Amino acid sequence: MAANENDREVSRLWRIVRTTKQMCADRGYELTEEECNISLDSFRQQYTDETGAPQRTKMAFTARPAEAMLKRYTPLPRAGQSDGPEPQIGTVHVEFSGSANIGIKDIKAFAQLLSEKNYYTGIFVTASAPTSSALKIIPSLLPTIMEIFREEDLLVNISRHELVPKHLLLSPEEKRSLLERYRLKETQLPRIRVDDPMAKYLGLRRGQVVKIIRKSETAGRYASYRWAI
Amino acid sequence: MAGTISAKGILKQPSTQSTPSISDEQKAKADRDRRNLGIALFHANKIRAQKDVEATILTNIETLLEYPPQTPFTSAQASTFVQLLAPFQPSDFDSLVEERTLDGKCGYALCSNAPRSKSMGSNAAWRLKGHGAQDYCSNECLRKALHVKMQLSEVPAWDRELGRDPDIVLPETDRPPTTHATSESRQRWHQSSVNDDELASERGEKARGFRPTQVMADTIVEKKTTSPKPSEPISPALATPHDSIEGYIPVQATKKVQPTERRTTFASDVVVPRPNIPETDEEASWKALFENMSIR
Ligand SMILES: [Zn+2]
Repeated sequence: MAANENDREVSRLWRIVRTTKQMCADRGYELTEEECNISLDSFRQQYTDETGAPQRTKMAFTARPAEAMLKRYTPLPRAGQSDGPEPQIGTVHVEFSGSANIGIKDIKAFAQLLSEKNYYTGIFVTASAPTSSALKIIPSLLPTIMEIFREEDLLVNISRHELVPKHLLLSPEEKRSLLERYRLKETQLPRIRVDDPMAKYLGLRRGQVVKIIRKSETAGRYASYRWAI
Repeated sequence: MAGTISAKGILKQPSTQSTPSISDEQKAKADRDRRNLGIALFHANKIRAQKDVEATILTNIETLLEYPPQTPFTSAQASTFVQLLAPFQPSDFDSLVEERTLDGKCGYALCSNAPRSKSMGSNAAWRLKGHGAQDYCSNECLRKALHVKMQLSEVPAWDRELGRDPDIVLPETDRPPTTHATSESRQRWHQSSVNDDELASERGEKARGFRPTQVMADTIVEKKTTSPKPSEPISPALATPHDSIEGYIPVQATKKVQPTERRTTFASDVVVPRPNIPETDEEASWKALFENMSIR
């Protein structure tokens, strides 16, 4: 009976960890193909204890942004600035928590770890919903960026769903040329909320623009753009 | 309120200054601008006040998570407890209790015991009568907490009139020394519990509390009331007779008409670029407003 329970939990967490790593890879962090598509067997070997129970603490991982991601997150140089601006991205650290209750203190402890280790972004994947106060303190932790995901939201990778069009983050350069080409202000673009599921998947920040590519039987592929708010 | 742009400063716009003769059209435009700006500023200030209060409440919850700093608590600490609670709404008090019990502390912030959800185990909830009783170490603390919670204002602090935070009175057992105490200790209590607002007014400042001065005039203007829009007729396809029960259409049938929220993400077929429509003044002022706020 207990073994059955463990099996179910292991395969559930296997899906969740896989989606999380695919999500990080899609954002542009350095993760290998094997890591993103780990088999259930190797997952079981790596992340369970001798009783077969999953060990969430072992699932924590850290990834660095690849060259392309660094570029995409580098702001445009300002006039008169001698050296180029720093990329607004860095190492991501992901932890999984099976705790039944996530309060202010848990979030603060995670934030503490992120700032001690100098991680740019933290992703906290939780089995249960954090308290409302815990969610409210997240903006006050800036410049540390913390994202919270519920385990159940990562059971399937929504970006792989056939009805979800491809979302691509534009670099500041691409955004500028888009606006110039169409003589638009960013505020004239249609919008996407940063708490939209695909925006959360990509970790969109306010002011960024995503390109959305749809397939159409009559028109082939066409793109639209959205401004994150 | 640092960073607030005074209405006067913004209104000195070149449009009204540079042209020597002002046409009626321009005057109307200026009036409209001024009105829109007033509205925008009112909302900006209100949103900012709301953000400030929310931040204060969160900080206070964090402080009260570590309460009481010592056992038994001092009268100064009891007084701080009351002051920290002043901006709370009852729901904020619930958040505090929730955070404290998660942290293994009695929901009543002047008590350092463990809540019964910890001391009695997982079945505390059904063994105890009374809503939330397991969040406290004893019924005594539950009673005290309710005593305090009942005095909190349902009005969010940013909507309260200046100085209208409730005067919270602690339960008798936790009150500062009164009859038996020496006059000296009574005085000390009084000193420690000086109202924030009093101190602020001594400094010649306005205390916390939000009154939008920019758009508040002494004159009273009758509010224009407009009759509410008639609700949209249900599309004929859905309002077929078989749906209605004696002329009443069940809610479920009408729900289908409403677009779902998710639609905005996946199903928008709007292709950029949108035509370059000149913005209306109101749009522009709102936009400026939001741009200012996102910097914060
Ligand atoms: Zn107690």
